[in-house]
Amino acid sequence: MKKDISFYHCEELDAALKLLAEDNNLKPIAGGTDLMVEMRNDENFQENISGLLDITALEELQGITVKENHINIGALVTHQEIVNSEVLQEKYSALVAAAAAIGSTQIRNRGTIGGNVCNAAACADTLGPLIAFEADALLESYAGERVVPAADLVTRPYQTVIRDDELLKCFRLPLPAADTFSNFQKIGRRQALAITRISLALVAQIADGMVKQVKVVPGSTTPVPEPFAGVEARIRDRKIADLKPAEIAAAASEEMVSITGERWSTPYKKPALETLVTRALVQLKEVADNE
Amino acid sequence: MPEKKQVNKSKKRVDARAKVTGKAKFGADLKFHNMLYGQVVRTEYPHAKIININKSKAEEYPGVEVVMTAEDIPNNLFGVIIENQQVLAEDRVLYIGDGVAMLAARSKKAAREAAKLIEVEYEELPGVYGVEEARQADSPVVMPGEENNQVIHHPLRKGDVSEGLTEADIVMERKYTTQFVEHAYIEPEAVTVVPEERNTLVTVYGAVQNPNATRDAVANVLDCDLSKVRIIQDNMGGSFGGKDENISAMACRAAVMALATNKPVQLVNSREESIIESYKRHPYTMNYKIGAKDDGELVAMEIEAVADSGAYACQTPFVTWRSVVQATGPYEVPNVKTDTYGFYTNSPYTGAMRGYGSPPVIFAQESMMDELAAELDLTPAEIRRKNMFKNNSRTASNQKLDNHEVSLTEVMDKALSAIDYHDKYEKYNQPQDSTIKRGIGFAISYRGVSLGAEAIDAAGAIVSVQKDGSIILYSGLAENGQGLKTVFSQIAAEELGVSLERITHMETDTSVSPESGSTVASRSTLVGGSAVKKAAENIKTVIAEFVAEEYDYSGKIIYRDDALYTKEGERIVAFPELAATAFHNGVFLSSYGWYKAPGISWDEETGQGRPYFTYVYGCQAAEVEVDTGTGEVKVVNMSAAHDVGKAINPANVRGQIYGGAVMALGHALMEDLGFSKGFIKHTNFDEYLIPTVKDAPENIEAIIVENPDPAGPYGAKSIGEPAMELGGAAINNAIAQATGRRLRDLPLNLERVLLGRNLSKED
Amino acid sequence: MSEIKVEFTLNDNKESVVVPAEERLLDTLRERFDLTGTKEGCGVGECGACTVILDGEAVNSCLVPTAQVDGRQVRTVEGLAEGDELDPLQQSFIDHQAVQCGFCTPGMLMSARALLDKNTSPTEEEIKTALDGNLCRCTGYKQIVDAVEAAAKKEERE
Repeated sequence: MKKDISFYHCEELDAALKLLAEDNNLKPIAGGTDLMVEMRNDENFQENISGLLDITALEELQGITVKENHINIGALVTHQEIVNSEVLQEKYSALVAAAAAIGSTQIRNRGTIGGNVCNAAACADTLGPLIAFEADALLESYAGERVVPAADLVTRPYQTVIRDDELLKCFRLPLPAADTFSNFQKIGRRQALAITRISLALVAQIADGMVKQVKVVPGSTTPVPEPFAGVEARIRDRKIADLKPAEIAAAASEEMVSITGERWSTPYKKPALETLVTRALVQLKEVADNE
Repeated sequence: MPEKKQVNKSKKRVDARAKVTGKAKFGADLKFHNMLYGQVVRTEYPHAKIININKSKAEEYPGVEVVMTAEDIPNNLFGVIIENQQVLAEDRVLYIGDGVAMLAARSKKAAREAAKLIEVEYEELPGVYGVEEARQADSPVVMPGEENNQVIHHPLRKGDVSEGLTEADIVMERKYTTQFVEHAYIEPEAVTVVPEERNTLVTVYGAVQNPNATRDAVANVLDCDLSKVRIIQDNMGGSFGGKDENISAMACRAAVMALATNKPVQLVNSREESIIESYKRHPYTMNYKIGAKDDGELVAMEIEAVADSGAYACQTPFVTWRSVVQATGPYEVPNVKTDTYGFYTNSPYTGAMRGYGSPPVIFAQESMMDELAAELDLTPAEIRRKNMFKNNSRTASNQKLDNHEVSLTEVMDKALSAIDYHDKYEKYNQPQDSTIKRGIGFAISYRGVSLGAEAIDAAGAIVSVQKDGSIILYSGLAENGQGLKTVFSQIAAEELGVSLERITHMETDTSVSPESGSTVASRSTLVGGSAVKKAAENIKTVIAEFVAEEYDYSGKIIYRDDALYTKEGERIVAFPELAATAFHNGVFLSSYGWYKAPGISWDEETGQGRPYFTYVYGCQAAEVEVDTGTGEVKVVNMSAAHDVGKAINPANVRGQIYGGAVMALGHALMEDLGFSKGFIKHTNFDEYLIPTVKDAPENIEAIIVENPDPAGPYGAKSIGEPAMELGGAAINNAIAQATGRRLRDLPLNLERVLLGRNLSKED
Repeated sequence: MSEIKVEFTLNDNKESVVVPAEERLLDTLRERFDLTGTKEGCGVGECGACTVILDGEAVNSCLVPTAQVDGRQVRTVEGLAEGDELDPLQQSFIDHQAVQCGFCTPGMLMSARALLDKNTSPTEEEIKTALDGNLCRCTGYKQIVDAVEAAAKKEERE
């Protein structure tokens, strides 16, 4: 007989953190779009937790707020809220594109950015853009707060550095410089409700025909989305007009293989990733040309 | 001909209101007093010996009322064609969906939890996974008691194929394969069996596609009279050929448990259970050898098509039979040698799915026509026009097509013109700069209507006029979601000149409805519709006698606007009043209607004869956009022209065309069960992908072509299956034009389109 | 705390139930309220047959723990019509032959209703996005999209 589990609903962050501090087998639940599937499919899920902690009412985890130098996206912000946000559309279009490509309307209405990242699937679509925009994650526990760069949040598939007594409160994204180009692309096996076969987030800061700063984060290509430093080095501080998309794309696929080794899917992922990198760079050049 | 009031009109579906309000009950929506919930325990291995089953822990679980294994089942075997499917596996499991034990409990939760406590000890056996292995002389034998793995072989011989190939200027050989496909009805299977309800031994409610087939199975398993088993169909949440043998197995299981507990037992599959246990579309491996003259004239075809039957015979003998008739396509070929086979393997068993044996062979055949055209420097349209059937052509079975209009030219012209094929074909043949390239392709087919030489082809219906003029309609063929009730109601309404609202089309009930064979083979409108028409005509004969007597009019009666009129247009009597008066005069205004299809013939040795009494013709074209950098394919536009004889309900016909085209798109591009040595990896809709609204083409032009057929009611023939058999080949041909590379294996997924080959973890 | 009392508004009626923590809204609706118009097709949020409207948004009721709907508004297909008067979307589905087997229909209607409640003049693309989580195996979607488009136009006029 599956054991009974408890259900807590907290209105106050402190109360929620206290519960988590007292019982590290409590599982926070927000939109439930991953958790409810896991609970159904994993025979032992219910055995391994003491209960569910409904965090949806916690104000500190909600909303998109613009600060002087950064923007906060609460962990409870749904994919649909990201899609609808004018400020995110304007400044973080790659993140908006990633959120729009997730699941279906029903999933985007319930699924949150916090849940997407905390679930830490290799194909989680929002983590790549968050890393590319150099977001920090604010983690809070009853003992205090700590800040972890988005790039360091996920250690391996379905595993994060977030402790059982901690909640992901929000992501803090630095405001991009004026001429920032961002691009997100995704390949799936169908046009909606598609698990990402491969994705790419690319964010580049442009000034005087040069790429000042760049982040290139492919998704579903490595166990955990990570910036491709070698590729970035081929782009950073270069004249945009001199960038050779095809060469850089080839370097990207080499970098992927250097991380993952040759796998059964590599013969597909290499050329496909090259296509995405090429297209992002071609678009970057077009944007730069128009300025 | 006076204008029809009820048929040839896009009448609203008679079941739509119940369905949009949520009031329509489906199998899992039923509840009965004291009802128990059943749970089946399935094998852990695709092929294994069952050493021992310990059910004691499950029996002790609170709420459990019965736990059963094969030994508790009176007669454990059933099957429509060959009786070799097990209700529960006895000593050996043959595929990953075989049930080994079952139980019924007072709650769903108890049933699920207790099922985990049934301990089964297996000895895993090596399995046969794939027809290549199954057909080897030294292959292990899958089906106990058989000498080898061959389920069936259908030969067809016409002319002399070797001579034909010698005469040819060009001989081309190609191999094509298609995959296992899931029906993916959105409603998982559900049945409820109520024991000793009214005068029956068991009454079965649920998502039963073919109530009489399920009745046969249940009566056989319970070893009782057919009259003691009553099947009442609920609304069907999609079937597409897929709720037949698997539902029969469920009904048998629930029936045995219901009798053991003397309580109603409900079995509802989860999606995973559905995908693991249910039968699939047959995967085919096809070798085609075609000989042609330089001008494109076909002189010979040699075809071997091998279907994977999986663990049971199920419908393989008939599925492969349809393949043999359609394998050469709608083309005149003087010399033909075709061999289609089915082989047992330890994969999921395969059975009926929309299209039956035709979609795989059409995929191969119509892909190959394009390959041949390219080789001969002809256009796809030219090579087809040169060879396709016309009136009085002879088929590969040597049947002369002389009793209906052979409308291939018309369907092809209309489909191609609707999508602007010729201009686009020229345009996409030019070099395209972008990595995203377009292509356009099409396919044509002829398809035998109804069962053909598979089985007796007759159906019945009851039209019963009540004394207030309302009408109850019972049909032996069943509503599976396709719109049968609407079409049959329209036919009855047309004949009796009444409004559709007067008619109540009841659920199929095997204790009332005349046994009519299965609702398959796109036969309902023609065969079942003719039976409804006949029943109404019988009633009109009685009415005519009564009118002569009662109203002193013996001329031709015109039935329209809920009344009877003289041929001069003078009103005789309102229909309700007629019904009442007839009743009070002791005149019986109800009738069975029975229709038996025209005769056919078939020689099993040579594949020659008259396999179907008539045919339909169709053409579908697809325009695709292929991302040559990622392998993504978007089907942008499709057009589909189908000769349906006559559309009883044009909106329904279009609905079948749209749905068929998109189902074919799914098979062509994405559907994949993820097989690994008998295991299925893609067991839910997150991995077994079917098209979403965004995958459907932006536009599908559905063109209804009408050449009324003497055999059908008002000239009507079929549309359900014709609509889905062409899309795969059309899309494949379009992709080939866009990429310049010909693919020959389905599905045309990202890897195949980008690399030209599939990738798999197994390799 | 393993039995949770939940008070919520269901099709405009105040309701109260006591449920275990893991109970899905889908089961609460079907089994405790006999609202069997909401269907289960996959149980993992991929088919949309169980779609209901939660505080104005289309959601998969198989992925919502009932415990989370305390104080909230839930609308199911049974709550669309007012008495005998159908919702314009229901009528439009009938008029456009958008129903075949009917199993996906309730979910489709709820997704479409959630869209039209927010956007009275959706583009075809917006309609498709609103329905992208509802699988249909029968219709090829064409007549469904047509029905939603026509209902939107009708509602906008009124």
